[in-house]
Amino acid sequence: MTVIQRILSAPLNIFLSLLGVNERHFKVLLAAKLKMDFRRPPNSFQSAGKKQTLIKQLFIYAFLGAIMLLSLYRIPDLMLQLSVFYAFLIVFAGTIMLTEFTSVLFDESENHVLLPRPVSSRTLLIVRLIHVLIYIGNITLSLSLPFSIYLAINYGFIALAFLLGVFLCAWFIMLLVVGIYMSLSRLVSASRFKDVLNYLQIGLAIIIMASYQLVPNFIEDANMEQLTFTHAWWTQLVPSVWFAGFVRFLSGMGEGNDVVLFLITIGVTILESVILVRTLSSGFNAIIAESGAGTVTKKKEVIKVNAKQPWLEKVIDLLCVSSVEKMGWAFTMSHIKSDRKLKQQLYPMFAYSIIMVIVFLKPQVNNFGAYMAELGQSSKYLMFFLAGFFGTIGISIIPYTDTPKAAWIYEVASTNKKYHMQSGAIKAVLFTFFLPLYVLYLVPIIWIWGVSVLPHIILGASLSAALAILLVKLQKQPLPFSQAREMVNKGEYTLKMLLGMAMVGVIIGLVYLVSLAHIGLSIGLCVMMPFIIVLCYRLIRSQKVAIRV
Amino acid sequence: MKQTSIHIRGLRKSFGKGADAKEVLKGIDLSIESGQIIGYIGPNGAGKSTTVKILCGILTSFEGDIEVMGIPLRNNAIEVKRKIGYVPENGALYEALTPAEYLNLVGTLFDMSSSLIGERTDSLLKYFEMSQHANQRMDTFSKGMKQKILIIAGLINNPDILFLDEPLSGLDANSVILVKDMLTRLAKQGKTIFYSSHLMDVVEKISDRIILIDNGQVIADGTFEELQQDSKASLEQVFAKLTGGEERVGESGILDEVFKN
Repeated sequence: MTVIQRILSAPLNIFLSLLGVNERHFKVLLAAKLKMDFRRPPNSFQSAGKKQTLIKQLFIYAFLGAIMLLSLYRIPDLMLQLSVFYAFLIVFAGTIMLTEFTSVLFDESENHVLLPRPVSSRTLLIVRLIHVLIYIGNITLSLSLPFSIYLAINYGFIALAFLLGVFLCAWFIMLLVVGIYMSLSRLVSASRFKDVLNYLQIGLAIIIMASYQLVPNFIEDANMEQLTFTHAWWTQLVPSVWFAGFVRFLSGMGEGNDVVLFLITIGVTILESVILVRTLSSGFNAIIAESGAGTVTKKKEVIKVNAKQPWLEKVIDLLCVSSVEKMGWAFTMSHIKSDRKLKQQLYPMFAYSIIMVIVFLKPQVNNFGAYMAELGQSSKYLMFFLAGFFGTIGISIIPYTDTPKAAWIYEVASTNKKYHMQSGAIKAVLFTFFLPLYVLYLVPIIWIWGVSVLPHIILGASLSAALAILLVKLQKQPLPFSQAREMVNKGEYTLKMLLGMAMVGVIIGLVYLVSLAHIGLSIGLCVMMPFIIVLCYRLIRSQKVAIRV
Repeated sequence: MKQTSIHIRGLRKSFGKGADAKEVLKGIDLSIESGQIIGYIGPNGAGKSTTVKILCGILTSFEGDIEVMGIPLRNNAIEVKRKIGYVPENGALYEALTPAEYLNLVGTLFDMSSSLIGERTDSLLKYFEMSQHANQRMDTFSKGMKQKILIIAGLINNPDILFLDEPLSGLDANSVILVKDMLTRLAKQGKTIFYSSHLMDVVEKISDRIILIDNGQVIADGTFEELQQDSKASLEQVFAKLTGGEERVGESGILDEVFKN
């Protein structure tokens, strides 16, 4: 090791020894993990390597950051700009931690490699945390890059402090989420933990998303060009304000209270790290060991699996065009029911969907009658298309599994209808998640806007479904459960969700324009939609060149 | 007098909770001396792998008391792990790494010096005729080659006790001879070999003591000769007799029915 390397690694070594982590174990494990992340599978026929995939993804995140800058640019007050940005970052990093990296943290696939060796819970937890942080850090830094350039041009040195704040912010939210997980593990047994984790994820998703809504609502209601930040006692309780104060203080632009915010940022981050690693980490090995151990199928689950649902079988017969497509449907649903990692990604999304509806509608308890009357006159029902699109998200995670080798079945199956599996899988997700979500949303929609908007809703829902199917074709999505879950692909799911939602924005615009015309146009388009959807499915099924698995 | 390397009292283990709980181990008592080769056998689902996983500190929640090399396993798992080697049944490897990289990782986790890791890696790879593959990625290896790396990884820390769960899986005939010879030599050095397997002929030939478990309980424990009970039965026949396998052979008529049409 060179002198420079020693100097550079000194802070990390101090940090590790403070946390009581075995430095040598930590370094060898992290190095091995990073090495494996970027090694291409020997039989890979992908044109781009893993590094290129990651770089492409980070570039798109930077583009999203640039779009976000457009709204931040209008805020004249630096402190407020920073607070809003960090609030967004906290929600974003929290979301990605909940939906994409929770499964990495509690991954049991390496139990037989690590658990028989003398590695402490503390070391193993911190290795996984830093491993995840590297990826979340990359994503959040990419997202923050446009804003940091803006800050560098306008304020100079503050950009560096801002980027350091971004890193600390990602660490803060990660530790907060994991701290809550590990606190929960104290209340339930290690074997029970994996069962309750999904519920906790959904709960946390709701809390994170709901808390964020305070900021944009506040801004939306005010004249943005004249907003300034004023210190108040309660602002010191808001994490995004801590990081904003941290940045201003560190860059020498701090005012009165910023030193307090700086100290809170540093203090909370250190305290969080110490509490998590020194106190809560002790049961970590037990959690992953018991998660990976033999599970007992609950008696009621056995009954559920064995139970025939004649109505569902009839629906599947009606909607599927071939036996392979039916198999694709059944195969996908059994996977979703039994794959915990898949559920960990999928279920928090429904919490986001419902929260999004509440945010759009902004229910006001005071003067409820006037509020409802005003809402009924608006076109806010169009916003349900965004919330409904969450029901399609499952489609983008279907290709990933822990057992990609099992996909040899696609290679040996004596059928030329491989892609019927794909269309069957899409139908299963749309029928099981997308359709019920819309049916659920029809209740408030009809209550508030009446049945007259029904054609618009059906049109928007159908267009969303068609978009979801087309995205599979456009993105050349691999066959169901044929790809390994790779660290470099993490972030892709959230990215697809954001890009998909941007496209739903176009659908909202289209339906709005249609709603301005005679209702007959909507009804006519609704009649056409089944044909369009059938065409989209044909596109999926007609793929001839097999994607090598 | 020989030292007791593994001491188990009232070992119980359940998966699941309440009405859905399934008791996999139902009170196992064992005392194993150093230098013995223990053949740990039983039908599928009898609790063999669960026992091994508990003894290796992989599964941490269990009832009963376990001492490994005189150290209570509960609350001292790290200390116990330093003294054992574990060879799992299937490729529990970081396959994207090379054997040299993987063995360096495992050795480092045992706090071995880099030079000692290098020496042992070279010698063990040579013993298993894998030296020429030291720097190739393991995801290109055959099942048998991966199994050899697992065995080497289990030995790299020079353990006092070696736990093997189906170690011969995928190995060719020459490698099987090599492993059998290795186990005998290690036992002569005073190491305890805890060998869990379905391959009765190997267990029969190499084990000093055979422990048969079924349905989470020890149903037979002794030397091969003691288990034979003056008969000339093979271990396979003894196994079938004790675990009800002989009766199940009669049910093979089902197969004829299945393929009738």
